[in-house]
Amino acid sequence: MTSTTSGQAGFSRRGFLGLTGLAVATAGLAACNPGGGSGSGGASASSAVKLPTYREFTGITADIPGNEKGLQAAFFKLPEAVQSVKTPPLMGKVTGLTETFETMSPGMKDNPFWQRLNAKLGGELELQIAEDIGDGYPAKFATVLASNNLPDMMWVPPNQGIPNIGPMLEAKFQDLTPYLSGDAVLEYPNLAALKPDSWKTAVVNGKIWGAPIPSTPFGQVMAGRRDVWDAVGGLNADSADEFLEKAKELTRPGEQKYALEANYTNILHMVTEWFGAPNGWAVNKDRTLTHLFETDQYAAGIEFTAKMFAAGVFYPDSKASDIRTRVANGSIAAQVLVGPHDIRSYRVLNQSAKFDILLPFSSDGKIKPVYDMGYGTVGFTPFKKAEEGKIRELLALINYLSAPFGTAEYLQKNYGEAGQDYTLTSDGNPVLTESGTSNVPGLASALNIMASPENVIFNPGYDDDTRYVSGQEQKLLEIAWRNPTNGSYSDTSAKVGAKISKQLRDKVIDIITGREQVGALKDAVKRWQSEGGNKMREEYQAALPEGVPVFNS
Amino acid sequence: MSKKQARSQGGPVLRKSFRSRLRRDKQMLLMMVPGVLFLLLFFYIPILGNVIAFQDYQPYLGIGDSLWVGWQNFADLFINPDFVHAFWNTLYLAAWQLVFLFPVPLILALIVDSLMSPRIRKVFQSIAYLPHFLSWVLVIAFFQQMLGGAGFINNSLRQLGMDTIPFMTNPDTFPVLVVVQMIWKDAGWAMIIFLAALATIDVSLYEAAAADGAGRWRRVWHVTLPGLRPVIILLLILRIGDILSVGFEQFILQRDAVGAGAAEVLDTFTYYTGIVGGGWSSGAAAGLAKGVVSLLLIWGANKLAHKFGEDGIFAKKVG
Repeated sequence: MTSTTSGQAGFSRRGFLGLTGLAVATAGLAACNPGGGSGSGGASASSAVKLPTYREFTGITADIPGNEKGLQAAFFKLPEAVQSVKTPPLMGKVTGLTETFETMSPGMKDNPFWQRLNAKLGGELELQIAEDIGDGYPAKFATVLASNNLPDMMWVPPNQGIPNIGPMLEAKFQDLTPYLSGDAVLEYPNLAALKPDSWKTAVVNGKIWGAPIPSTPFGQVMAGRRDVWDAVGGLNADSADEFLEKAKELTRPGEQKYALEANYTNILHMVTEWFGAPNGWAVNKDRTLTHLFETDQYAAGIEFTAKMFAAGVFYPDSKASDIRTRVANGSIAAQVLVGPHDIRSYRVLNQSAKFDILLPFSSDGKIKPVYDMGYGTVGFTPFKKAEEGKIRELLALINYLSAPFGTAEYLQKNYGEAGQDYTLTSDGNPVLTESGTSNVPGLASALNIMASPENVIFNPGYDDDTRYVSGQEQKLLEIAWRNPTNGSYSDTSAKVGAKISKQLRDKVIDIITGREQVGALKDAVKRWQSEGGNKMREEYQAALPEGVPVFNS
Repeated sequence: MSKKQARSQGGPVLRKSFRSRLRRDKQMLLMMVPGVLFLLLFFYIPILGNVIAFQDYQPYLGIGDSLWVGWQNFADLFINPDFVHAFWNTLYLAAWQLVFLFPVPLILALIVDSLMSPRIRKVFQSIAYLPHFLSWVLVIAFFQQMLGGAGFINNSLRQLGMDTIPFMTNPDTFPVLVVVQMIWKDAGWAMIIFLAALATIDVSLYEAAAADGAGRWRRVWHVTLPGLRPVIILLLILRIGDILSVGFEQFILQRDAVGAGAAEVLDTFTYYTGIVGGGWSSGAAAGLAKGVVSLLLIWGANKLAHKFGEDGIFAKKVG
């Protein structure tokens, strides 16, 4: 494995978002977003809690600076490492539950990278690592929770459908507000460098429960190989129909060539952006909310996707696990990625081709297209209730593990020890050694999913990619919308959101693949409304912050 | 049953005979201990966990602190259209399995038994057993490679300029697909029991029948099948008790391809409701309801077997 794949954050999250499907744009995600807390009486408490003071990390300068609208800072090469933590954080043994999105690393005893990290941490970090298989993590989480034998820290992914987060946190986990609110966080400078937007994730019932784990603020994009799409005039279109024409041209089953991967949910998400559908919820002029599922744009998107299915432009195997390879070698023209930065994942497979990111276009030349920003974090990591000394030790550990890009700690966590786990290329970029390749990615991924700094764009050796991604991100930001319920909490959503979205989405797939008529959507939406959708609306409306703009496209 | 009779004969007699029997069977009993412990630990004690079907169970509260809701979970379940659908779909698929899957191992066993050459017999047997040891993931992947949209057959059809056939994605033909997959995977394995039973049939019966002028088919009809009857009935009863467990991996793996309409069964419903959806209690209620129905079915089937003069699984009397 080259340094490319373990680049910036060391984990790909391909499975993470694959798991939640359309998560980025649906209630499934908003569903479990533990922000303020209205139904549970936390709304006013939530606005009262003082978020941790933001103090930017100034130790290094980005090659392309980010901005507060969400643009990620970009680096062409690894800067000279800066020390951000003075004393080793641990005093003894600490345990945690987390998940890896790479092949599992060898256990601590057989893993020198892990042992060296422990030495740097000054203690022993023992982790139970779940693998990204099926619906694995929530099940693992729930069983560990039920066993009543909790590790010191447990990663909580709010958008993987872990229900009833509020009461669960109150029952089992430590309220960290006194340690982190306001200036208190400054004792942990790497945590103070996490943005306020990220911190909102970790606020439930008006209390701060852990440090957030930032991911890209961007959402899904469609990507494909430039030379493949150039044959039909490029990966863009002036209308949905034109896109379909291009897709038909690119589909030549006799040659095993297809236009689109068969992930209907994700492709539908892209299509609804062209049709101007809202990101999760639309805020109306009278400050009421309309859910994506209830909009005409969503129905139109489904109808169009069904039309694409009927035209045969999808790859015929919806179970295929080699889509990325097929896009890299040009046999599938386009797929949906978790975010613009993810085109770096093609570099292991294809070092020379150019890959394009589609900017959402208008479905008919009149409708204003939208781009759905993502959730921005992958959750937070709360601590089991304990006395202050232990809590401070855990906070120091998370502070170490959240060290920003460009620090010695970041390097240690993502690449290990120079000369042992990685070597530097002539232009100063890290490449894992043979031992590093087997020991690092699995553990680094597990660490990054439970504690991470703000993400940056970093494609060592591919400066053009870095420039291109940064440029596309700027363009996407111009039409970008955030889910207006991000940072709000709905009891109903936490309880049944995942289930009722799944029911509806099953029906949507039936429609797209021609097993049901478009008319079936109406009943499915009615069911969604009556089984929790309407209640979620009420709860979110009550919690809706004033600053959230009206959806107008 | 004899134990029960002994107990009813009163204390002293029982104690004495119990002790002496204990002495007599000591070694046997010792050998049973690990098995009994295993059953207790992994089957009987977990049964107690079914109480969560009567609670609003939350994993962070545990069984002790979760609220009791009585029969509410069951009431909700029986009006949930998805559960009702999953229930009927399970029965529908079970009927397919019973009619088209159950006889296959028997037929296979008869074929193998009639093979003359021991070598061919061995090769055939091995080939037929092997797929049983493959996991469903592999079996489905194999079917996908052969019959899937991008699989061998459809790609060949495409190259010949013909229309493709949606073997793997057509919800209407899904039961056929399921049965074919099951036959491919497990029919050979299920044949073992029939082969063993065939071996116990007295060869002289065949000879006598042949001497009386019975042809091949008549011998099968009048000797083989009656000889296999107790085993067939036993397996049938076991199958009926198990009828609501039509499979799990096989369905969850193919649910997306054919839709929940065709592939949702009780076990996948329980999984999605209980574990994925966090409704542990309704999941447990669905599982418990299934268990109770299965128990009734197995009891009924056993009764029926006694009516026909067979032993079934619980013999009426110990001979």
